[in-house]
Amino acid sequence: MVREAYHKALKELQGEVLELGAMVSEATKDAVEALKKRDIEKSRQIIRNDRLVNRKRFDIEERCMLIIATQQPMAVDLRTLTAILNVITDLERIGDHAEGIAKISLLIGDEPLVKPLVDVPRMAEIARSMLKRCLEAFTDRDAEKARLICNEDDEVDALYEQIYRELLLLMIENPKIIKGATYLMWVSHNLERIADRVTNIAERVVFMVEGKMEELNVSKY
Amino acid sequence: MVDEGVFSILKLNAWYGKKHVLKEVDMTIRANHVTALIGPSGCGKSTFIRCLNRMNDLIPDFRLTGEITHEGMDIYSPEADPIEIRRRIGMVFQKPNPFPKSIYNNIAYGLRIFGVKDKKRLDKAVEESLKKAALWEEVKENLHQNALTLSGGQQQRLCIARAIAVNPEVILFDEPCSALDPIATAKIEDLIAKLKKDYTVVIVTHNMQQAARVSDFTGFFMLGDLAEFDVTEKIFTTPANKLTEDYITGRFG
Repeated sequence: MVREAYHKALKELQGEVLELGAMVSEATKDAVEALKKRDIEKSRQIIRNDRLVNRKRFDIEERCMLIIATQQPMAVDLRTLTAILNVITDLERIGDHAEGIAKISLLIGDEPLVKPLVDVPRMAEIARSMLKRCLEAFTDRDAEKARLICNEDDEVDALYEQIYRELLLLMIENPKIIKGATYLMWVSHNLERIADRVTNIAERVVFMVEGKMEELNVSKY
Repeated sequence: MVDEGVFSILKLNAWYGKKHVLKEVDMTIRANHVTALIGPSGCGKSTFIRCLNRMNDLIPDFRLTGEITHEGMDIYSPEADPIEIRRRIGMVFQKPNPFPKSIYNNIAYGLRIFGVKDKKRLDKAVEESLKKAALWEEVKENLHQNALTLSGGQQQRLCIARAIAVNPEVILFDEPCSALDPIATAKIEDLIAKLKKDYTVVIVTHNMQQAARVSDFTGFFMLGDLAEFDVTEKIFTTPANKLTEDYITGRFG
């Protein structure tokens, strides 16, 4: 093996991407838990932590540029770096969605939730499981695994529609809860977007491995 | 214009003594495009480019089988004239090698060999060749100065002008920038991009970034095999052969 320092830097960079992934996955879990338990301080903490996520994303971006400028990567290395540049954008946006949920928690404040949270934590769980396996596919360079993840996005979309219908019915029955129900709708929208971001990442994994741009989750509309 | 192969290489095998240095190489080289040849030292790329204008003829023990046709003519057939072949298929070498003569006489040399004596015609050819080699503006006041007083980069452009002067169809470059600094290299690279309008260019280079920058097609040689040949864009982003990928990403070589 020649160019050892270069390949070491590439490997370390991939480790950093996994760390960023773990940070936003944790933020998603905590945001939903804080909402469920009405833990205002925890929600504030998530909002503060998002700055660390953003900083890490920029740090990875700078390191990618440095490798491109100094090492002139090609072929699979070049595809890995361009994939990373896209993946970190999606991860950072996942962090923003988690932060969004924490902000909604603050907006709801002391008000009781308009319904017990069952499907929302379920959505969060599926989205996080998708993200976990997507990052495994990234590490293992497994395009097939990445492709499979996208099927689960349909499950998240189905839950999103179910929550939407349920909340709509509640609002029709009792217009006093429109505000509280809308907040929960925003929460589920954030989770639905997180799962979409994961499918973007899966597409980048396929590109990194096979060099093909492939849209994995085609809109049914 | 229809893209046609200016060179068609079929089942080319070459040996230095018993050493088999090129193995069953097939390649089509397109007119008015730049074709780059890359690969680790000893892979056969320089031997290959030298086969294209019979530069290996003079090497004792060199032997070749297969077919190389240029514009439909078998360049190794008994009727083919090596001098005429080298006029039509010029070559620029790694180290600039101007003759120890004036700039003017370096360019006029080839034409005089081909019997051109008319001063006006020679003047015109010298000016045009130097212009095409992007050297005219730098030397037009000093055409009778000794060529060896030029800088390395200027000498290499002079060699390109000298190759152009005899009106070739193809210019072969064998690592033309490896003895030059980055600025002189950039000038030669710019020049290669311009030359392909009028000529077919084949370039051997150790510098993969250079191959990626200047060429339209790239061939990767490995232990005498043409391991992969494709459009340059494909070779440097999604090569089909694992060997190519490992070489260009520095995993061996």
